[in-house]
Amino acid sequence: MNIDWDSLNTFEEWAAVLHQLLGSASESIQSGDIAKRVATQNALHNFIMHSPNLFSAELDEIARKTIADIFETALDEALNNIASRSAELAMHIKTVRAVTQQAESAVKSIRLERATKVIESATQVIRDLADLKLAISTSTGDQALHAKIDKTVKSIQDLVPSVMAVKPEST
Amino acid sequence: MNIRKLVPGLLLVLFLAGCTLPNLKPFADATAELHAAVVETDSAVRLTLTEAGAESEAERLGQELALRIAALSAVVNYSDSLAQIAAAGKSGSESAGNLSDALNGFLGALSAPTLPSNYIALAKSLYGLVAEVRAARSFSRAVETADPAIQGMAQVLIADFGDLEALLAQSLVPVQQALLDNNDNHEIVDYRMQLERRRRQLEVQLSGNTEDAGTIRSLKEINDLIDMTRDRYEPLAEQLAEIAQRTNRQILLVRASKTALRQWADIHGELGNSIAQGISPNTRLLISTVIETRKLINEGGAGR
Repeated sequence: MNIDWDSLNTFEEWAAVLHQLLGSASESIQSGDIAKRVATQNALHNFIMHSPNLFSAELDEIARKTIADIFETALDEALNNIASRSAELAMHIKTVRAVTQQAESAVKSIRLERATKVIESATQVIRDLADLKLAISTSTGDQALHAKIDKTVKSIQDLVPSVMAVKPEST
Repeated sequence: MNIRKLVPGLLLVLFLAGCTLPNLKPFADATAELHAAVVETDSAVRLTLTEAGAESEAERLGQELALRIAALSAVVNYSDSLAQIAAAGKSGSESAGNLSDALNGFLGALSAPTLPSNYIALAKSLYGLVAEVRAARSFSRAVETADPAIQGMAQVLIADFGDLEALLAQSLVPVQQALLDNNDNHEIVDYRMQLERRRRQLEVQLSGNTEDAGTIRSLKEINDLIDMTRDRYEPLAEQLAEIAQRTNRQILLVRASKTALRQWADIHGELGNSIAQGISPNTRLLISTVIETRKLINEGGAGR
């Protein structure tokens, strides 16, 4: 939009240019042509900048309102379009999160983390039971409890090869 | 305790196949950059709308964009988990070593003899292969399951970015207008514009008669008046120019993010083939685009 602002002198001449810009604004809003809308906003902005306040204050107000109208239309369109896609996006997020969870579980399995953790826990339990057994021997001498501890240690001992033989879960 | 009973478990069941895990670190890093670009765009758009006087719409849009940031967070975690699968596959012997250490600790607690070192070496070597195969399978399964969602997500985000680009472009003039409306800035702009207009008219007159003393005097007076407006007008003109520059940078960031998303989704679509062919995905273009987005962010994509 090439407008020779210096050639405009009278109120009628400024009003005629504004009229032309309003037509362009209306067209661009209806057509959804973003480049045309931006060009029209720029032309209206230049109109406000160049037109003398002395007699164009009312025209400037119309130009300002038209700039705002174009912006509000853009805002409504963007908000509605973006919001209309949110449900679909939420569904995709759910899928990606589920796959991520499975992948994280696969990582643990590949790193043999579960088996290693079970064995480390079993080791700790056996050490704790050995300490307990020692304490019992030296203090109360409870033979029944002594036997129960031995039985538990044996069970854990038998459990570990079974843990080792467990095939990795489907990864 | 029969140590031999432990060994078959340690070796696990071998299911060898010829798959090689791709290097996914560049892909995961690029995904993190995309996340940063979306966060930056969110701040930029909300700031712009607020400056244009659309506070409630900025808030509404912020709520919608929070879901976009959550989407990118989800894909960052997803990409990281893929990279971790690949890493776990490549460090199989280390995992077998950890398990052997745990077993030796267990045997030590029972006062039983530890695992023979040749068993451990064999387990480490074999599990090195097994882990890679397991990782390749996990990787393929994850990529295959996630791809429709990844492609759908990219499509939604690209469309969103298209809307944000249009919105930013149509926000520039309203933001500039809001600045002009502040503190009666219109008055100084109008005064300066009329002085400049008068100067142009005098310059035209002078070009026809270069020695017209009256015109020369008037031109000097106008120039003096223009000089007197500098203190108020020029900072304002600079602010208007800064708003334009900032908006253009934001638009470039949105465009680059859109391109990066497309490239990112394309690479994801090819990951299955990458594993089958044993080659790493070609992330060259994507990396170059995310470098551009990072540069735009560093230059002050949002409010700086």
